[in-house]
Amino acid sequence: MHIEKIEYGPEKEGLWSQVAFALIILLTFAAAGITGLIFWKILSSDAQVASTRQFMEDVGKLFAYLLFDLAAIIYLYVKGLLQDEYVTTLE
Amino acid sequence: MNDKITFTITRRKLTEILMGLIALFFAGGALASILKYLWPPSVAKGGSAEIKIANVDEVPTGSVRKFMFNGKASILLHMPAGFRAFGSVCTHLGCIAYWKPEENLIFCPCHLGNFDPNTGAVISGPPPSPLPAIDIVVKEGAIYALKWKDPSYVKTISFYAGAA
Repeated sequence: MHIEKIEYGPEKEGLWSQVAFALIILLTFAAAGITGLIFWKILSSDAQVASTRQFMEDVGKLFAYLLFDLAAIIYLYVKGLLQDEYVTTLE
Repeated sequence: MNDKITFTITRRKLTEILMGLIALFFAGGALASILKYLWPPSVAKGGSAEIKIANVDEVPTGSVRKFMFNGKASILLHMPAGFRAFGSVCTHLGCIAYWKPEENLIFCPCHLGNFDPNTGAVISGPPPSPLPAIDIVVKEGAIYALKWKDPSYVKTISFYAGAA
């Protein structure tokens, strides 16, 4: 029996990597803002407002924005910070 | 003697921490939403606190407005004879009844229960008892819910547990 450890290599370097990292920070703040907005709307709205079609559409749009935001962060994380190759260690 | 403590963090690690914080934030919000749904803030249980339902001009004759009263779905109707308000949770199996203007009745879609929109009384179908009425008052151009008309009756309906 062996344990296989997969670790990513060192971080990428260069301008694209720095830009990706800066974008990740910005998008993270955006994600925090959108998340806060979603739950603030859900928690603070009374039932009469929360049962309207408009409310559900607004919250649905915010969820869609959040999903794209998170997808962008993950894309930048993988493409901008990780090396393409990874190191496999057998123990 | 070098007692300086150095702490290094990679961009990758920082990104992972930020993503973790976002996930925690999201989970916290989701948990708070679930808790609010399970334990809605109860107001005016048997008391006389006023809950604004709507402005009078927002509910013309023949129209309705849904609202929550003591954590229970309720309905305000503007009938030709005036405003009426009832809990809209059906007394049969707890479905939400709604206003059916073309038949002039409050209708429960689950088992076809029909209620009188003026009194809340059962017209037909399986509901065993009327919809509980809510005392309302109209003042300064707005309609307010005050309290259950008969709190002791509300206490006997299992689907209104905790509402009176």
